[in-house]
Amino acid sequence: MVKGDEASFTAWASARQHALMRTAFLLTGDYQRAEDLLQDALTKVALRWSRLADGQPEAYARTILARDNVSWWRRRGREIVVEAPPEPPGRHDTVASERRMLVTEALNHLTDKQRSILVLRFYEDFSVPQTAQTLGISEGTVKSQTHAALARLRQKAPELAELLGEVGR
Amino acid sequence: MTEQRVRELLSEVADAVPPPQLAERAWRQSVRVRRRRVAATAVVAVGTVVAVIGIVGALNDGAGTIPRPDGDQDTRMVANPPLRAGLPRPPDTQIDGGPAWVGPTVQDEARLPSAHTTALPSSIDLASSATSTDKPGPAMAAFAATDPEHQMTEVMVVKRDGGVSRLETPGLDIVHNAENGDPVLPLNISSLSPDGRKLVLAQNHQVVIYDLVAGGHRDLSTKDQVSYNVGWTSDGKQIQLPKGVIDPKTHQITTPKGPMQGDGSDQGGPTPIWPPRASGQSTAQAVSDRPVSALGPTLGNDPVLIRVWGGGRRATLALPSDTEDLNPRSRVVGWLGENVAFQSQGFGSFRVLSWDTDNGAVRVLTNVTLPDGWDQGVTASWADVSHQPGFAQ
Repeated sequence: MVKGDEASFTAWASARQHALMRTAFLLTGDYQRAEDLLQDALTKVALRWSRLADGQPEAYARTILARDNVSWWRRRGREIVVEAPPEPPGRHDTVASERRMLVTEALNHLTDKQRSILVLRFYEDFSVPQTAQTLGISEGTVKSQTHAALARLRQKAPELAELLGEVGR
Repeated sequence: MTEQRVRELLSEVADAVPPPQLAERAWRQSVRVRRRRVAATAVVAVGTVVAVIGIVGALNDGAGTIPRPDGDQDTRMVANPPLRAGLPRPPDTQIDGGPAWVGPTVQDEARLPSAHTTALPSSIDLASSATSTDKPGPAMAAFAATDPEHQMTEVMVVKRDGGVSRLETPGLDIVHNAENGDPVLPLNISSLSPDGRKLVLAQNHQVVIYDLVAGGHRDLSTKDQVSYNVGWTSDGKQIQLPKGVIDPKTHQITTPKGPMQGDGSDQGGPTPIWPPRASGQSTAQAVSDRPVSALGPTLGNDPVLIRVWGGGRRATLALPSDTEDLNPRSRVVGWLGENVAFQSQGFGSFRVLSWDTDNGAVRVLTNVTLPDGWDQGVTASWADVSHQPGFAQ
């Protein structure tokens, strides 16, 4: 590790941490957990910075976020939280805030892997093969679990189904 | 568009997330991690140098180098030092009045020396093609994995010779936790009977007992008892439910008075990881979540301790969380002489290791190759391999 590495890593991380934090929050639904998850992911990127700097550090970081999130749930046992956690500190306009809480609460009805698949597919715009590779699962599982996740959202959170409108129809 | 609406909603949630300030903190943390790694490597290197100096002291000619048979002096460096955890060594500390050693991390296990026993094969390949049968014969282990919905898709049975069969289990339902509705894997760590001849799987309000030798299965209602976490008692005489036991001969369910085997996890103490394995007067069992301040901070957040007690024996092996801070998810498989065989399961790795309770050395008994997609959510249940002959270092 040389001084130049520190400067280039800090510059990269400062520029990309907000985008990565958004992904981490969608994966976890909890701001503090998301911050911990991102901190660990950035540390792992920093440890490999000399090799990643000229490659795709952000792709590596997103893979770490997705996989570590699954691992975190796995080692503690899945706890499906059905009440929405408090909104992250920041914007609070009433209607939009309520809608965000509704979405966050609905996502809590999914398994960790279903949630990760939805986030990667529909927020990150990953393809099915990209999602499968990132999560270390088959493409068939990505497809079937995307379908299952949307069905579960409709079942467990009918209010969201109304918001989703034509989803699944 | 359907997908477009989902995208919009997720983006709306994400856009409200304020920026973190983690860049410099992450760099500082990486520096600390790197320093710890260097320090750990240095400890291993010092130990190796001491050992090499000891050998040199015994063999050298007084000039500090090892004489070769042809009279030349060998000045080559010693490379690839053996992992300290794989060597006989003094205890790292004392716990509960007995010696305690720090075991290898999951990442370090690949560098451990091998040991051999006729009780276990050196490798188990679950990825190889396996035939389906309802009577694979006496089993050494049973493996199952879940898909993302926690639905068990198949049970793989490992026979005594290391061969693998797929157990025919048609018509299994997804089991749900009665308290929170979460899916539960029908196979758990004590599903296989200690003699390896029967397997019990949980279903909703019933259990299914498979006879692996004669074939066939029997469904048994558990009435109002929840059936998940069903498993054999360590003596193999009963099948235990969370709040009752089943006599496998009479199929009667009774609720014993007093604490159930394995109770205590709600008392704030260490959580026992079923099952314990006994040999003579000595018992070995894994426990988790126990404070181990005597062994320092290197164990991570979720260490597992393999504990041995009874018969004048008391010893502990502490297994650190891996670098991903994952619990090593260990459990005792049985006794092989003075050694405790235990499973170690990390992210994408699965092994059976032996621990010499006299000198702390840990060695690899069996490497397990998992099928694609089984890196997460895989569970194994082992027969008791105790009292099997032929263990060699």
